[in-house]
Amino acid sequence: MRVYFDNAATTALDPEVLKEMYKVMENQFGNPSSIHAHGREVRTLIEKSRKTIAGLLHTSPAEIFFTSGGTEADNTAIRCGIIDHKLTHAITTKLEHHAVLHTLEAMEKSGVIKLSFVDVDNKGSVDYDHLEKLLQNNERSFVSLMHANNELGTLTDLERVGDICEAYNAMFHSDTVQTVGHYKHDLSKLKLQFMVCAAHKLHGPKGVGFLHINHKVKINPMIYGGSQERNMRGGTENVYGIAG
Amino acid sequence: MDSHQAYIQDLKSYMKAKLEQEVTGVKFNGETDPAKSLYTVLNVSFPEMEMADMLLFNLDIAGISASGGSACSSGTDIGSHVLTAIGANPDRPSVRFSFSKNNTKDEVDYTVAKLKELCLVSA
Repeated sequence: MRVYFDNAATTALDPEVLKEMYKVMENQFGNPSSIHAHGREVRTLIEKSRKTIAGLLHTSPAEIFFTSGGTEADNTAIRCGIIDHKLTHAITTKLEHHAVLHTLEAMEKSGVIKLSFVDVDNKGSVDYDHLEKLLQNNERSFVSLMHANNELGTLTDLERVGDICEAYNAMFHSDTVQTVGHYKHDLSKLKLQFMVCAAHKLHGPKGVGFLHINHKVKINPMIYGGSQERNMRGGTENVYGIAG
Repeated sequence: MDSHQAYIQDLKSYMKAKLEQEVTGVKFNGETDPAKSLYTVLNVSFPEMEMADMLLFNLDIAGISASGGSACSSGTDIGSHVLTAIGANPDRPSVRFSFSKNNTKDEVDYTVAKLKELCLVSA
């Protein structure tokens, strides 16, 4: 018997997803940035995917930016959120995925920010009172707390963190890679500025994901290039992945 | 999505109960209260055993793919930074089992039987 119990690492591609991707690969090779018919057709596919995702998350398509996956989305939110808003302090926990932890640690090392860690208990739950204290005693902060821990499964209350962050005018980013597609996220109610998704964690293809950026927040791209993703991410889109 | 959630949560609860029943000294890392825990992830802490680092390898040999890593006491980069940060016992091997809609109770039964065997052999 062969058993796959590592779905937090990655999941099997759903046959329906494969069918859709195959159809696009076979028939539609146009560059979505081209203005002719071949391009426009593919552009339509991308915008249809964006609209579907936005609908599921109760947000507008203008807040969804496709990326190469969760790590790129986390890096973009953290680096650009902090730098473009001239923040000097960030708060996270020692339990974050390395896509978050190593990014913040690198920024601390290069002197861009001071980094504080919220206390966690022996089950990995965040100490919300300590978070509030850290926000009280520091400059305007960038807060990064994951929704579900990828190793333990322990959940963070995003509504509660959102309320706390709003009270202190902090910027809130959540690494939601383990929970998008598993729980309903209602972005019309959640008070966060950034959340992320990696498609391969929910039976989608590898190499594609997205970053949600609240429309009130303006950041510059992390990857410069063409005007793809409304000037937010240069590089021809991963069309098959996005369609999947 | 709701039906997947109920199905996967049931698998996780089933595996947790079965492990508690079959494997002496088993514990769980992180939250296990369904309201505070992701229903796709079960992180199991096994009793101290000889050749603890062989547990994942032996599971792999038995055809079972899971992830793991234990807390580390030495402060090096080896091991799980998460288990280290919550103060898990570095001498107890931990394995993360994570589920999807494609898994079945038969697979859980097979895995628990194999784990029981491995824990008895090396206890």
